[in-house]
This record gives sequence, structure tokens and C-alpha cells, in this order.
Amino acid sequence: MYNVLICDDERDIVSALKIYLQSEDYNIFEAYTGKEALDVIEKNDIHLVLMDIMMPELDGISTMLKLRETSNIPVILLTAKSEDTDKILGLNVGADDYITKPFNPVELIARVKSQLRRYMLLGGNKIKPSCFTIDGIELDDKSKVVTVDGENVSLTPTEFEILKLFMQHPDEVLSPKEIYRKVWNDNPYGAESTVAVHIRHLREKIEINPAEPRYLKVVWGQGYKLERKNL
Amino acid sequence: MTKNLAHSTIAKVSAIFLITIDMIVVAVFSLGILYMLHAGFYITSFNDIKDDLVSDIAYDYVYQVYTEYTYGINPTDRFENSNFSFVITDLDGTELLSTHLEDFSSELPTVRVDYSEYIVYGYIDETFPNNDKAATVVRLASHVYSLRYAAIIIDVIAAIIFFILLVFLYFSAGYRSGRDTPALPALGKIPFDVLTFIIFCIALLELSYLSSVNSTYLLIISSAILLVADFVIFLLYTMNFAIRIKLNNLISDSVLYKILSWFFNFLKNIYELGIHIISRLPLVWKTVCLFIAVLIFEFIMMNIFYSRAEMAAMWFFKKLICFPILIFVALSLRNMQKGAQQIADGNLDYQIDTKFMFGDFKKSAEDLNSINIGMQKAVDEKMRSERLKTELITNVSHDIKTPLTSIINYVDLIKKEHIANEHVTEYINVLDRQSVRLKKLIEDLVEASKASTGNLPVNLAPCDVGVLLDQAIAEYDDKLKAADLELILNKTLFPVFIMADGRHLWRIFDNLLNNICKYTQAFTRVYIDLQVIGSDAVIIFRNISKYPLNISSDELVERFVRGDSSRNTEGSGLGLSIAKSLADLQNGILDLMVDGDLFKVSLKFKTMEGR
Repeated sequence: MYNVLICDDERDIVSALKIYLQSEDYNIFEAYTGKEALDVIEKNDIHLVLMDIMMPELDGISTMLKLRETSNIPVILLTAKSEDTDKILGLNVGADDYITKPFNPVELIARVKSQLRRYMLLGGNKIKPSCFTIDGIELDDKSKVVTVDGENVSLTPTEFEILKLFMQHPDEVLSPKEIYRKVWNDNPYGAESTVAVHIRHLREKIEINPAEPRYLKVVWGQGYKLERKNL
Repeated sequence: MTKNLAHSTIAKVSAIFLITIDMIVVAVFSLGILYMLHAGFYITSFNDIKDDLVSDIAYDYVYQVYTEYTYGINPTDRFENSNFSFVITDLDGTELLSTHLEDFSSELPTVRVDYSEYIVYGYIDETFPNNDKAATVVRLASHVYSLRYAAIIIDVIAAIIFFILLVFLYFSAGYRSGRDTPALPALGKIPFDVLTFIIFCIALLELSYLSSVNSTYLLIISSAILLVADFVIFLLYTMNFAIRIKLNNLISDSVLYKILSWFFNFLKNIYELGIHIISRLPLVWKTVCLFIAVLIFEFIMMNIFYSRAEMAAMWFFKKLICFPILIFVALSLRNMQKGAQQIADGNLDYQIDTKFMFGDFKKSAEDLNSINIGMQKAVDEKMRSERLKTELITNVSHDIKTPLTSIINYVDLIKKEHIANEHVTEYINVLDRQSVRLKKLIEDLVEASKASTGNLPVNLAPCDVGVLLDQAIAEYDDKLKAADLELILNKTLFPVFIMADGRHLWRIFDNLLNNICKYTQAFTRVYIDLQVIGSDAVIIFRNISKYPLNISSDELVERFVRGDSSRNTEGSGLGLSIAKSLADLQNGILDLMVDGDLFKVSLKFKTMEGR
């Protein structure tokens, strides 16, 4: 039983979220302002916070900053603001993930689960030599096993090789031509368009929402890159 | 026919040949007629003419006889077989020598010449028993006499032919077979003034040659030959003139004209340079220069007309007072000029310094300043209202999104209750679909407002269009398959780089591909072409519409307009409008074309090489 705090000034949204998360067997705490949220966190052992940004009294960003002074529990920001600048600001002040309203409940639950797994289970994992780890993704080159936030993901050999290439070159933009040359060990001669399809499938497997990937990002007109959150 | 002749080289060469001969005929006959006129062929009878001719010859002979006799030579032999006979007597009438058979006193002599010592009588037998010079001359004269009117007719006819040929030659000059417009022949391309000069030189040479010839015989022959040659040269020269008249380049193609026009151009350039320098010179310097010029002029004038010292001093003082005033006025004007220039350039922060101005200048400068302030205000207002508009839409959309989140979530929760009532399930599905559509609509609205007001950060960077197309198509792989569409991508073999913001460009492709999936007739092919045309990268999307497109392509990019007027499919009607705005933001051009059911979108960006 994990304790999850939901903080939003919209009571209807808090109740809806409560229903969803309770169905996943989480223990729910509620708060309607940033101050209340901080109080709840102080008094209870909270494992994850879902928080709105625009709230009266103390907004989500300020609450985040206060919270991060004492705690490193995962925080998922929940907001109607969908600007890129807002997302970047939220992640920079210490949020672990970001969900825009109106959200898809299934996606929300998946993100909550993923954050909890990382926080609770993978915190102090020792690194095996044949293993590549980037944030929640773990790739074992020997056993050919890939896990995302502790969940096994089954990949085709090509997808596995592509992911391995990205794990070896995190934060680097790789062009389809380069990827083709290294994974297929061949000159592309126009065949590199298949790379895009493979990566699309790979993204569907390792991302919660492939349209808004957390890890494997599309650099439009150049290639793809695997983004590392904590350098 | 005339045209064919005019274009035929052979015809022209023959014409030149004919006209030369004709010219000789005209010349000879004209000279003959002139001679005949002079000799009176047309006014006297042939007998008179014959008498004149005979006596002329007789005089000649008599003189010869006299000369020879005086020198002691017997002239008898000389006239043995001629029709001439003579009698020499002394002054008293005593016969000294005679070839005349009859008694000289019984017959009237043809001529009688009284010299100082002798008298010589010359007789010519006009029956001409012997064939001598006199006989020939008279016979020839009688022939010519009988032809004296015919000569005029022949001359006139020859002259008419001459003019006809001349007109033909001038008319046909410059034309060649297979060409409709006249042109100069290769040799005729020499500028006309140079040609004239050459011909003038030739004429001078000829004259100097002719004047150096001593023998009359040679002179006649060579002048005849030269006359013919000169005639041909003159003919060709005038033909050249005719061509140039036709081409209208008589003056423009001459060396003199070219030299003159070059010279005038040179003068014009110098003039323009001067104007350029003067116009670039600051107002104050212009004033100073003008003032000094006037000063020098007045000084010179004064030195010429008056030389009194008091006048000079007065003049000097006047100028000394004028100069600072003039400079002050020029400086004030310059300041205002600068201010107006800054306003014109759009620098609305600029204010003219009115500290050292007064009177009308100060007022004018202050007016200019207030124009600037007013414009600054208007621009600020405009920018503020644009920003407010976008902000309003963004804020309203935030406020709509919060209740919408609840709606979507609770609809989802109701769905999970598994209500048995069929109607309720159906209604919930409608709610679900429409709430998702509302969400999409709000997102698109915000984006459209930002894109159209340019309120969107644009980071232009080199972008490989081919790669982006692959990526975009990979994203739509499943959707295209689900819509039963076959996509045919024609790319260039080489990478095409443009300056664009990859994310915005993807949004354009995203919207276009989304439309294709939604509105394309199933089981048809969709074509996407990437081409480089000149310095442009052109991406063309073509598909067959599912619904008849009975609206114009201009209307389609309007906001909230959709191809299906029933509006029963998902979508906001903002896709194309957003795509167009985003293309504009990246200096691209998006064009739509509707041709029956064929729907075509072309995107045009400058390639990196073409920029």
C-alpha cells in the first residue's frame, strides 16, 4: 500500500483521481491548496504527489520548491498549461513527470505506477557490467532483457539493437542513416526510411504515451535521441 | 515575284552588271547628244554641217602645208592619195606650188588663208574619190546625223532603265534569301562614317593619280575605267546607305556617334556622381560650400566693379554676421531632417533635441517629436492587443480545460460502471467522443491563435526534409493502413536541407497527414513528392477526397472551414489554417489546389543552398 497525495483546487478532479487510484489499491490523501499539501506530507509518509500548478494560496511550483528542501519523493505535475516553457520550468524545479489536462486516466495511472516503481524498487540498484541503465530503462546485453521502470518489455532483435545503440549514445542525436549503418551493418542507399518505422514501434513499447515520449525523442528533420533526465 | 527577285543574289548581281553597262550607254549617248547640240545637229541642215567639217579639215591641212613649205619641205607627197589639193601663191598671186589640177582661179577654193609671205588655197573634192580622213569624218557625221533623234530616244530609254534598276537595287538592298528582315552584308558592317571616309580617300587617290598622268590617251582610258569602277563603288555605297535607312542605324552605328554618345555618357556619369556627392553631403556642409562659393563670386565681382575700401569692409562685416546665422539655420534644419529620417526608418524612440532651437524650428521639431510619440503609442497599443488576444485565448482555454478534465474523467468512470442499459451506453459513447473532440478543438484553437499572431518561438535550424518526411510517415504508418491507403513517397536521392523549426514543420506534416487519413477515399493511393526546383524545396501532398470538395482552396485554409459541410467527423477545421500559419512563420509557402476530387497541397521552402 503506497500513500499517494492528490492536490488540486478542483474537488471534482480530486474525487475522480481518487476513484481511479483507489481501484489500483493506493491509499489516497487529499489536499486542495499547496499549504494543505505540505501539511499532509509533513504528517504522513507520502510516497507520491500528484499536484496541480494553478492553485490558490500557494501554487504548485512554489509548493514543489518548498517540498524539495526536505524530501525527494516523486512529484507528478498536473496542469492545464501545455506550453513547452511551463513543462521545462516544472521539470527544472524538481518535478519527476508532467501530465497535461485533460488527461487520459490510463496514461495517468501508468505514469504513477512507473514513478512509484522507480522510487520504491530501483532506488539503489547495483549496476551489472553488461547492463546499460538510463533513468528507468535497463538493458541487459547478455540476457537480452529490457525493463522499463522494472517492467519487462519484449522487443524484436532489431528494436533491441536500436535501443542498445541509443543507450550507448545517450543525449546524442542519431540520424536514420547512422542508425541503419550501425544496426544493419550495411550502407543505407535509401533504405533508412525503415528505421523510422522501427523506432516508432520501439517507442510504442517503451513509452507510456508514444506521442509525448519521455525517453526516446524525435528530433524532427534530424534524427532521434535518447534523453537522460538526471545527468 | 518582286520579293523573290529582291531576295535573290543572282538578280542583284545581274542588276549591278546591267546598271553599269546602262550607265556607260547613258554617259556615251548623253555626251554624244551634248556634242551634237554643240555642233548644231538639231538646228542646221547636214550640208551646212558638212561644209563646216570640211572647212575645218581644210584649215588643218592648209596650215600643215604652209608650215612644211616654209621649212622647205615639199608637202606634195603627203596629200597624194587624198581628196585634198592646194595652191600656194605669193602675195602677188603668182603660183609657187600646186597640186590642184585645174586652174586655181577658175574655182572657188574651200579655204583661203593669207599668211605674211604666201597665200594658201585649199581644195577638198566633195565627191570624195579617195578614202581619206575627210571622207571618213563626213561619212561618220552623216551616220550620226541620221541617228540624231534616235540617240535621244535611246538615251531616254537607257536613263529610265537606269532609274528602274537603281530603285530595284535600293529596294532589294539588304535582303537575302531565307530572311524577312534586312541585314548588312559582312563587308557592309563597317560603320557608315568610316565607309564614307574610305570612299573619300579613294576619290582623292584617284584624282592625284589622274593629275599625274601625262598622256592624253592614257588619261582617257584610265578615267573611263575609273569612272566605271567608281560608279560600282558608289552604287554599293548608296545601297549600304539604303540598308542602313531600312535598319534605322545610319547614325547609331557610326563611330562618330559612338564616340559622342560615350562622351555624353561620361559627362552624364560625372554629373550624376556630382549630384550623388552633393546629396550625400550633410546639409550643413552643403550650406558652407554654397556660402563659400557665393563669397568667392561676390569677391571677384567686387574687385572688378568697385574697389573702394569702405565698401569692401562693409561687405566683409555683412558676411561675417550672415555666416553664423546661416550655419545655425542649417544646423536646426539638419536636426529636424535627422529626426524625420529616424521616424521614417521606424525608430520610434528617437526624439529631436530642441534645446538649442527657437521660434518656428522649435515648433516644427516638437511637432515631429509628438508624431513620433503618437506612433509609438499606436504601435504599443497594437502589440499589446495582439498579446492580449493570445493571452485571452490561452487563459480561456486553461479555464475550459479544468471542467473538461472532470467531464472526460467522469464519463470514463460511468463507462466503467458497465451499465446494462443499451441507450445509456450509446449516449455515453457520444459524450466520450464529443468531449475528446472538444479537447482537441481547444488545443488547436490555442495553437492557431499563437501561430497566426506569431506568438510562438521559432528556432530555425538546418532540417533534412527527407528525414522529416520519413519520420512523419512512420508516425502515420498505422493510421494510413487503418484507412486503407497506399502511400507513395518520391524523394530526392540526395538530402535536402532547409532552414526550419523541426517541431513546427512536423506539426505541418502532422496536420496534413491527419487530414489525408481522415478525408481520403479508401483504397486509393496517396502521393507525397519531395523535389528541388531551382532554389526551392517543394513538398507536394496529393490525395483523392472522400467528399466532393465544393469549396474553393482559399476558403479551405480559413479557420473552422472543413471539406465536409456536415461537420460530423472529428476535427476542428483549424488544421490547414495552423499549417499555413506555421509555414509562414518559417518563411515557407503553403498552397492548396482543388481539382475535382484531387486535393493537392504544396509546401515551398528555400533550400540552404538557395538562401
